[in-house]
Amino acid sequence: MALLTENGKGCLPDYEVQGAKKVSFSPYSDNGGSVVALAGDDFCVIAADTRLSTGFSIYTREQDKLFPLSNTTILGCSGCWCDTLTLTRLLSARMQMYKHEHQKEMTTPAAAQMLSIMLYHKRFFPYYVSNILAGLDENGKGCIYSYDPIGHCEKTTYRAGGSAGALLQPLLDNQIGYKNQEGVTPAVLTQEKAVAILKDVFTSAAERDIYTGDGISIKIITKDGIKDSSFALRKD
Amino acid sequence: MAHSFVAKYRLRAKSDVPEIFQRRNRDELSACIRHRADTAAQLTGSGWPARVRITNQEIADSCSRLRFESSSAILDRMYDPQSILAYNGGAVIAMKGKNCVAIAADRRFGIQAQTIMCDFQKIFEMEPHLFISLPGLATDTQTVMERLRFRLNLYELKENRKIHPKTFTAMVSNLLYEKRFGPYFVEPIIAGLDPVTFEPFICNMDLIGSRNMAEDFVVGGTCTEQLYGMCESLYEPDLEPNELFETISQALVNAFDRDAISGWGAVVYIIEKDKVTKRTIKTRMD
Repeated sequence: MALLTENGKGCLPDYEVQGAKKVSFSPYSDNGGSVVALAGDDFCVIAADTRLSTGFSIYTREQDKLFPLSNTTILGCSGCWCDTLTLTRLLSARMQMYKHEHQKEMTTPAAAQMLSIMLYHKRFFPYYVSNILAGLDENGKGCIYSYDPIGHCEKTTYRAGGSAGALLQPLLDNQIGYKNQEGVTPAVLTQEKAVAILKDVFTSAAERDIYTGDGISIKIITKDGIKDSSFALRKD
Repeated sequence: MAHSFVAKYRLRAKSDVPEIFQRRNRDELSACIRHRADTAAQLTGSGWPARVRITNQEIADSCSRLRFESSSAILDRMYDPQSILAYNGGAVIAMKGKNCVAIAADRRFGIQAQTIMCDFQKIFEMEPHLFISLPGLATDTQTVMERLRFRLNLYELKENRKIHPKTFTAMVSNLLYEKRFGPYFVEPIIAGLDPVTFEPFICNMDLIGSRNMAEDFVVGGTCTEQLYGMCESLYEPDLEPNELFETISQALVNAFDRDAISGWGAVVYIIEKDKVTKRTIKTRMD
């Protein structure tokens, strides 16, 4: 009541008070980055660009965003870099705990399920990370799991994620998934073709997405282990 | 970002915009007077000076600062252009080929997520060799098209000749800029051949008429990211008309299949010197 009379107009005063300062803290940042993964019958290839940026400035041109979790599983992360670091540290700890408890490496589908649960555990203060998990399943077949920041998980055979995800996914639909193509017999994806397409799509993405560029690091997962390679992109 | 949020909050808390601005105006001027008084007092070392004068320049500075703040605050309050441009949905591309151009669009008309019709016209023939598409708010699509047609008719009656695509683009840009502070929510795409030289021409612009005359392709609508990704990979220069048709169709269809508010059929125009081909494409309808 005092408030009403004090204001002199018969209504509550404005919330905005003279001299009041609004301070804000934003716990998230968007550090950009794109990840693309393609699965074949006996391999899986995952690539991420190597630019770490915020807004219009670049922190580094050589940041690897691919995290090997085991000999057959790799996680690609983009989004808030500090969340990526925390998440991957926790993940590798959980992988090690599993190994000690069960005397074996966690399989890719098991790691995929664990990641989903770990993300959902932070349902109301999520890790701001776009994850793509690539690897070989129990039968040695390539598999890819993609996530939203709160743990929705989908198993696919090709996926683009991160800042250029929207630019690249329709292209993969068309070129890998043979969507909207008639009278074409889908060819089995080979390692060479997968790597060639990866390089092409990242080159295209770097043309239009300022958060993607500088270079890509590529990891090819086969039953014999993980092969590393890299490829340069435009640096502007 | 932080600035616009604060402005929105302030205007929502109190809808009486002019009074706030008046109040802030008063505050600024009185702050200015105090500062001048303090400075003068320090200089003379004799307490308050008899008279403090505020120069015209100071008033002008204060007012222009205010006008800048208030205009951005009003724009913030008015509407978020992104949400209006994405109210009906749509996807459009234009591409240059060898002695030909192509323009293609989806056929959906919807209200947010609800699809109303699947044969909505988004590409308009302004001249036999000149096409315009106006993705954005559907009501503005039609209004702007009709106003353009009116201006184009006047131009042709006055000049007694066919308009050049570049001139037409200037006309569109002008019309949009006339509504600089209360814009039509369309982002036009123009494709055509020069009526004299048959030189290919494509162009797009934003909702207040800033032009971009591209050498390869232009895109517009609610799935521009997907369209750019497709075009950037599929496009190559100097395509023949039939290859251009295949390229533009694949780019459009695969892009809008990844957008929930575009698609439901597509239409493609291939514009050549002595032939314009219109094709409607069967697409997935979900």
